[in-house]
Amino acid sequence: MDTSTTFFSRLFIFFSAYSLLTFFGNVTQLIRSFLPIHHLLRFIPSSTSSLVLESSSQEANNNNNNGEHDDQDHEEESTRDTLPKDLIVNEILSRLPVKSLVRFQCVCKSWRSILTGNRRFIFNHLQRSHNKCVMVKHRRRSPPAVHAVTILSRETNALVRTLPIPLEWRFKSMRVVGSCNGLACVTDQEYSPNPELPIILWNPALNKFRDLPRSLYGSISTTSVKPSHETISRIVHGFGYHPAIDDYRLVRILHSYDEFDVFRIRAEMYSLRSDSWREVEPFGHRIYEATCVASNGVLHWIVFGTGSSQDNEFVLCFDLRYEEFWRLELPDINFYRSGLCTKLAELDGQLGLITYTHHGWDKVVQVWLFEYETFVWENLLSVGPFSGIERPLGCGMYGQIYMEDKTGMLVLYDDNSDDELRRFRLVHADLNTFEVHLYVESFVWEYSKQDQVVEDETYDN
Amino acid sequence: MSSSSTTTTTTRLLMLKASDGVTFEVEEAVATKLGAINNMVEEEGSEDLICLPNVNGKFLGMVLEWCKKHANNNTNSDKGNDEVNKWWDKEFVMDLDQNTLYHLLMAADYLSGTELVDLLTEKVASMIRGKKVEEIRETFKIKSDFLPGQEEEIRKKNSWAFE
Repeated sequence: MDTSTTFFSRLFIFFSAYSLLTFFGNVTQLIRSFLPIHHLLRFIPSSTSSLVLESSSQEANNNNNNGEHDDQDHEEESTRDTLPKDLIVNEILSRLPVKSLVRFQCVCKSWRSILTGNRRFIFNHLQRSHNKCVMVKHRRRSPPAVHAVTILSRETNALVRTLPIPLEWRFKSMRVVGSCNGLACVTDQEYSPNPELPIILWNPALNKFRDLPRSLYGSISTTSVKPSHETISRIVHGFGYHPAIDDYRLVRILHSYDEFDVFRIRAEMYSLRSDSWREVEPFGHRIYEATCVASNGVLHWIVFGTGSSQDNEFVLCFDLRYEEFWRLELPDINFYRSGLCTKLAELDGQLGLITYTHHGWDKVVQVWLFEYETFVWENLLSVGPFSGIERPLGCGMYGQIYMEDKTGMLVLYDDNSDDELRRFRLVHADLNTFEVHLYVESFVWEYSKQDQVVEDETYDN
Repeated sequence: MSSSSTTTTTTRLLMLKASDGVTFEVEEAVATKLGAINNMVEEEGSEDLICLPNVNGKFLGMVLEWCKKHANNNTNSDKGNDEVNKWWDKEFVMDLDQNTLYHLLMAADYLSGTELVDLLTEKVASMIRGKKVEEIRETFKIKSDFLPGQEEEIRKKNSWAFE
């Protein structure tokens, strides 16, 4: 390469960098406070045989005396014995547990504003979150409370903590609709005919919750949208997140009969961003299994076909972005004839399916993964027969299946471990009241005046 | 320009000159673990001496020591590599005092040594996660700028986090 080309290319780089920096002069500070890679570098030719790397960060600018005196350097070091603010905020605070961050709101005003709802920070923190857990809900056999929500580590299977439940007394039969990026949506049991169920949004790590606004079809007697002579026979929920619209959404599907006993399905959707409900076009099949799995911005339920396809179950999907229902086929097995039961499960953000034999003491369990790219179900695991198992509940890390045994105890099968089954003695429940959801501690919250703090009243006495 | 970066991956030596004039002779494969150096080598191609006016020799030396270990471990073998790196990283940050840690972090950040920045920030985070508000202010030399009563209000609202 000849020297003139090198010189001109350098000149070009220098001027483009210079003009860019001038142009962004005023906003640089702003950009830097948001960008994870927060330093803009520029290259300036100093001589024909060496390069100098400079940084645009403030404390670097007053240090241009290339290769000079020790004394000065030492002095400078002692005055610079703390870190630049953007490095602290973007790189260090985003690695801290939520509880520490809530405490550190008290440090100064700028930390407070970052630690109370800055979207970029929330996102960074979530990306770095590696304490993978499961949230186990069950109904207790003994006081102090009816319901209990327990967090277990997915890596060590140790008990992380038992959560105080927001206004636990309001729930007759509590149900966790879904857990997504550290946010949980909780309501009462799906088959309760009472349409005025409390629906709460809850971040257990932040210790915050709030009631969602009343839904369109929330109340039989008071809504004008819905005639008053309808009886609701079932309500099914789904809760998930769509990254493209950066919004958390809850879908409610209502089955009802009107005064002439005509069956009707309605669907409505809540958006956390807009904090409001709207109607969505429903899909004409009944849902019998309330489990909903959210993955890739799509909600999934298992549905039984009607008419000619009566024998077959399929997956009902709802795209949270385009607000459309569609149908997805299950693996090619005749579930009706083979007597297999199905349950959807989340597999580390992906859609999974657990199939198991319904009858008898011994249960054979299979786990399937749905590949959205190829639209193929892949059989991951086929284990058992296990004796004394009631039903599988969900999946943990790769090769792990949480199950409920016939005595109401939580059990873990781990394909990577030599032990047959691990029983969690701390969690003892009424039969068929278990739910297992993947959970990760996060800072995600849409701040509002309606926010409430969860009081630990249940466990104080 | 592209030819230079493909043909010189193995033995080319670079000279890195720190702010205090100390120079280091390093293999290109080692130095280019640092994003900033990698960019310069790719864009500027032919130069062998790189001046780094914002890094003191002591910390540049430590950063390069880390790069060298990681470059070696990565070329050496296949399987237990991650384990070796992890073990070595742990040793590397174990006995760093706060001042050294900060300067090393700033050097790594300035040189865009992403993995090293991750390692060091993780270390700082582990040191401060259980600290009290006053200790954090002291650690990062931050002054409280709340009006009287404001801080108490935040504390009261979030009392569970202070237990």
